[in-house]
Amino acid sequence: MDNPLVGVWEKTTVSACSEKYPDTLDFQPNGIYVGHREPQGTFTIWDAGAYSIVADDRVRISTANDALVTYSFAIAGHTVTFTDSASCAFTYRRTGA
Amino acid sequence: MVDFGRYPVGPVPPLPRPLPAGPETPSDAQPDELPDLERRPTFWSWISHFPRSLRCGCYLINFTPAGSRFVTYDGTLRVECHSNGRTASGDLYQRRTMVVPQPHVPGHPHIPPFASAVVLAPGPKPGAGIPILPRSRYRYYLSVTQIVEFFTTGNSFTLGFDRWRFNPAAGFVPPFWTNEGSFTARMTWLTAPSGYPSPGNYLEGDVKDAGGNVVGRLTMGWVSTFLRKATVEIDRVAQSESPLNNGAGAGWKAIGQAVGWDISVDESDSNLAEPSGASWSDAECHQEMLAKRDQSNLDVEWRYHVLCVRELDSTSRGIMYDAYAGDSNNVPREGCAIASHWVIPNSQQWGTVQGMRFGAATAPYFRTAVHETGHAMGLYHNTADNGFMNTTDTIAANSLSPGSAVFPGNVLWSYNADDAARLRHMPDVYVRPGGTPFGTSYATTPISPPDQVLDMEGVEVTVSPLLDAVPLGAPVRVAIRLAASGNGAVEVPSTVSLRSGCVRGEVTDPTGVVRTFSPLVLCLDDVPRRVLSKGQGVSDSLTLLRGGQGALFPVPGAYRIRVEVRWDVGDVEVTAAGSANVMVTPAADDEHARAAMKVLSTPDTLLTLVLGGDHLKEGISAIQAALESKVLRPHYAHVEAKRLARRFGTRKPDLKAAAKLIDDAAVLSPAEFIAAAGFVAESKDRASARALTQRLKKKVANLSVDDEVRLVLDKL
Repeated sequence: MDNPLVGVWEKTTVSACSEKYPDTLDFQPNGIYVGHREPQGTFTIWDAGAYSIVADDRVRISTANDALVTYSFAIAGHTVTFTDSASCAFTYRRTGA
Repeated sequence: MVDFGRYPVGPVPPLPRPLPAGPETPSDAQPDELPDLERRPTFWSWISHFPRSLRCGCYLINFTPAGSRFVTYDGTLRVECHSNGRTASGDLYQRRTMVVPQPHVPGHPHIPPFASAVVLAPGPKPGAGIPILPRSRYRYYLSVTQIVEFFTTGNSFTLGFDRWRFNPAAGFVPPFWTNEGSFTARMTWLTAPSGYPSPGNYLEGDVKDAGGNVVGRLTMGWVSTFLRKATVEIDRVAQSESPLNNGAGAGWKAIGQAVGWDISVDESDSNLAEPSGASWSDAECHQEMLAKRDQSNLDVEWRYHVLCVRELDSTSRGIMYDAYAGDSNNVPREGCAIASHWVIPNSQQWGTVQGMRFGAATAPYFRTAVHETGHAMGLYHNTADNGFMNTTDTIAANSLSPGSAVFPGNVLWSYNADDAARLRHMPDVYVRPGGTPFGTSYATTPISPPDQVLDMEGVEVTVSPLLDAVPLGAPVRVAIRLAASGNGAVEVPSTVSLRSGCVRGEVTDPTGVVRTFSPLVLCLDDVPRRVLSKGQGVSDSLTLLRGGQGALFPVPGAYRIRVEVRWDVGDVEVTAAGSANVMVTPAADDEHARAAMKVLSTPDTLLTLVLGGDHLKEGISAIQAALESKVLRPHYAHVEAKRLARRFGTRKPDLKAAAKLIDDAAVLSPAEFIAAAGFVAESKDRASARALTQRLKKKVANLSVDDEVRLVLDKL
C-alpha cells in the first residue's frame, strides 16, 4: 500500500491551537519525519521522530518528548488535515503541487 | 489525552559567541578604575611582563548595583576554553534578605520588642564549588561579548556582556527576556578573600553601562574546572537494568565532562513495586519519582531522575514524561523514564540488536537514558547528526545509508555541537530541573517580586477557602491569616482586609491565565501596625469576584489563588504570600447558567458587593438574578442583606428583609458574620435584630470560626 503521507508539506492553517505544529513537515518513506518551525530553533511538538499509519485515517507520531500520540488525518487532493485530541484541526498542502 | 498546551514564544537570549584569544591592543586599554576599593596587589601584579589569562571553568560571581543597600546578586560565570578562544556566559540570582526579628528585652516580656531589622542573607560559600541557587531568585542571564586580556602587561582585562532580565511574571505575553543593554567591567586580578579554592584567580571591577556610568561592582572567583553540576538518580524495578554506561567505556561522568558538567550518579532504588502491572503511565512515573527520589529540593541540587521500568504506556523506549499534562506538580523536567522490556523489531535498520530486549541492548538502552535526560535538561530533538538528541528511530534508519556502520555502531556518543553549547551556555532556568517548562509557556515558572520588594522572613500567610468548591458565578470567599512563624517579634499591618490597602493577589485559571485583584487604596505608612510574637497573627476574609481584568473565576475548573501582603519595615517594602486552590463547578441548570452569566458579565456586581447602596442599578439587577437562582442564592444572600441593612439616602435600613435573607443555607465568611453583627448592633428594629442574632448564632454554632467572631456575636 502506498503511504499517502510521504512527501514535504507546508502548513496552510493559521490558528492558535495549531501554532505548536511545524510550518513544514517531511514525511519520509522509511517512517521517519522531520518538522520545522520558523524562525529556526522555535519549538514544535512534531520536531523529529517516527510515524506510522495505524488505520486509514489515523497516524501515530512520536512527539517532542518521545510520547507516541495518535492523530486522525484526512487527505483530499494535495491537502492533508490532521485533528488532534483537543479537536484542533489544521491543514497542510503538499509542496510542488 | 495529551495536552501540549502552549510553547515558548518569547525571544530567547542568544548564546554567547566564541571570543577569539588575543592580546588587548594599547588603544583598548583603560586605566584601572577602582577608586572605592582598597588595592590588593597580587604576586602576579609585580610580574607584569608575564601574560595572564582567564582560567577556564566556573566562577562564583557577585554583582551589587551602585548605591544599593539590600539588592545584590550572586551567580556563576562559565568560561569555556576551546581552540577558537573563549565562550562565556553567566546567571545571576538575587540574594535573599532576612528580616531579623528583635527579641523581647530579657526579663521584661511586657516591654514591646524593638522593630525588626532587614539584613542581607549570607552569600554562597566559594569553598563549596559551583553554587546552586534558588530558582525563585533567578533574575539575569549574562551573555559575554568581550574578554580582552592583556598578554603583555598589566593585571586586568575588559569584560563585556549583555545583561538579559528574566521576566517570568510576564505570563503568556512575550517578551520573557529584556535585554537591559551592554555593559563593560575592567576586571583586575586581586588576591581572593579567604575561602576561594584558587586565590590567584579572583577579580573585581566596576561595571559601566554604555554611557560610561558606573552601575555597580562585579566580583568573580574561580571555583571549579566544570561549568555546571548535577546528579542523575537512577531508580528501577527489579527486572530492569540500570543504564550506567554504553558497554564500551562511555558513562554519565564522561558524557557530562565532555560538555563541562560535573555529573554524579546516584544508583538508588533497585526494587520498585509496579503500581499496575508491567507498564507504567506517565502519571505513575511522576508519582514514583516524587515518592522515591533521594533528594527533592531542586533549589539545593540539580537532580534529574531516571526511572527504569519494564514497559511504558505512552511510548516504546523512553519518555521525558515531566511535561505538559504529565507534570502534575507544575515543576517541569524533573525526571524521565525508560523501558527495558521493549523488544527491538526484527528489521534490518536495527542492526546487531534486532530482536533483543531493550534492556539487554546495553548501548542503545543507555543512549535512550541520556537522550531522555537531555530532554529533562531542556534539549529538543536534533537530527543534524547521530548524537544524543537525535531519535533512536532516525539513527537506526540512518544506518541503512551507504557507508554507514550498522546500528548501534553508527551512534555518536556525544551531543551535537549546538546542543553542547546549549548545555554549557543556555540560561540556568532552561537547563536546570524545575526551571522553564519543556516546550510550554512560562506561566508556571515562579513569579518573582520586583527586586526592591523583600520577602519577609518569619512571617507566614495562610489562605483558606471558606468552601473548597463554589458554583460558577459565585464569589469565592477566603480567610487569610498573617502570622509570626519565627522566633522573636515582627511588625505587621494590624489588619489584612482588602480595604487596608496592604493586600493584593492573583488568580490563575484552569488554562493558566493569571488575573489580578488589588486594593482600591495603597498600603499607607499610617496603617496601624502591631507587633506579633511567634504563633500570633492577624486574620481577615476576602470575598473575590472581579479584578482588574474582569471576572476572576469566569469558567468552571480548578483555580489557584495567591494572596500577597505588602507593607513597610523601616524604609524597606516587604512582602509575604500564601496560596490555596478552589474548584469552580459548572452551571447546574439553565437558570444557574443565566444568573452566572449576568453576574460575571456585569462589572457593577463587584461595586455593589463592596459599596452596597441603591445607585448601582446594573449591579443590583445582577445580584437579584443571582438571588433568583437556587444555586447562587446562598452565595449572594449576605451581599443583598448587607445592602438592605444599611441606610441609603432616605431609604431606611431594612433589617427584617436582611434577616430573612440570612437563612440556613446562606454562605458567610467570618468577616461577613462580624459585618452582620454590626447591622444588629446599629438597628433600632429590636424584633428583627433579635431574629437575625439568633440566626447568626445558630449558623456560627455549626462552623469553625475564629474566637473573634463568637466574641462579637456573644456581645449582641
